[in-house]
Amino acid sequence: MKIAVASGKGGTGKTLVSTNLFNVIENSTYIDCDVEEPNGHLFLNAKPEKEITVSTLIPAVDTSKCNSCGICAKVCNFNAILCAKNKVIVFPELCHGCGSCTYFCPLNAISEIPREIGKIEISSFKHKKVYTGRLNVGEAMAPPLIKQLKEKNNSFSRIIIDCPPGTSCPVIESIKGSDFVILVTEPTPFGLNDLRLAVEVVKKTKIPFGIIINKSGLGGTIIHDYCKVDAIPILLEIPHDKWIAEAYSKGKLITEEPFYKTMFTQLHEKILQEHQK
Amino acid sequence: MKIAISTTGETLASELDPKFGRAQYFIVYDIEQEKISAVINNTLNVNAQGGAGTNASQLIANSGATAVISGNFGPNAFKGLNAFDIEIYSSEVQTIKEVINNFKAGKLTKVSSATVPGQH
Repeated sequence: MKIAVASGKGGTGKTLVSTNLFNVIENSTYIDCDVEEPNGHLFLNAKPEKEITVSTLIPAVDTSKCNSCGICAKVCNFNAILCAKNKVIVFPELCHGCGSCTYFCPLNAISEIPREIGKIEISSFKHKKVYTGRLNVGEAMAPPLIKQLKEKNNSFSRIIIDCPPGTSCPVIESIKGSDFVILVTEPTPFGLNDLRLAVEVVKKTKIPFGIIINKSGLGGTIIHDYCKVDAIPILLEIPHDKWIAEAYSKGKLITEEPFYKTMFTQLHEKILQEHQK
Repeated sequence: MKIAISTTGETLASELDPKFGRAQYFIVYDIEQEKISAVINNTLNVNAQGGAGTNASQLIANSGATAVISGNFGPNAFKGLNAFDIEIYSSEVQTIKEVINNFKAGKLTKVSSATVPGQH
């Protein structure tokens, strides 16, 4: 079972939920897909044991074969290649690596070369594997890194995916292929607004999902009201507890305490039940 | 020679648009014939996810302009315009007519590197 933990709004508690869920599920694997700012390893005390370089493919033009026909620039959806009179200019950081220019070049003047975009770090926590994606600073191409990060784990059966915030391509790439999505939110107007957007995205993927209200008790019942109208299951409410904030700021897992360990074990059972529905 | 100017409208009375890649229009003006030779609609690039600067460079190159005037140029726009050997000038926001007069009088500053960081 692959469980993706997403949110819409940032800072609602994706990493809190995913690291603690990982802590209570035996033989599970944790994947940090928040590749622009991965932080799950801080709570898992995971030191990288192995690093894998991740690249995406960009076009390289053989000028001796090119006649500046301009087809490559025309077919590029991302304006990553320009065709001037006697030269073709590639903008590597705009390239999505789709390969259209190479495919459509009538003179076979374009080949594909790798460009490094980031790294995958592999580490351990209590004899379980932790995979962290780390995008190079200043790099914008998160989805290819997330894709390769997830491919490394296809053989494992119990996977927790810590997703990036938002509702754009990196999030969709992260939740793609999951069996269940948890959306973590907080009872604030911002939390509700971004939750609505995230729900729209997850509904499109047709993956079953449920909601966790973090900092519950903070701002009334706006999330409950919304979930009631749309018949969305609330899997768990994590109390707005100062102790959690203190533990989190020290990089501790709250499920090391029996009360929260039981809470997250029950959460896992609830997810399995919801998934059966 | 033809010059392209980023603008918010389609006439000589329109104002210069200080954003190059995401400008609404480009007016292509023929200096010798003293008239607008084309208006490029750049709407597609206004909300482009990325690569607005590079695509706008291509549009301007296609128009036959050999110089471009705008407010600010990002790194990709700068690299793209250079690839097409298009001269780059920076101007304050004023009407296109004033911009053209300043260009003719040699009052505009030539830009030799990107003036703003990349924008999404």
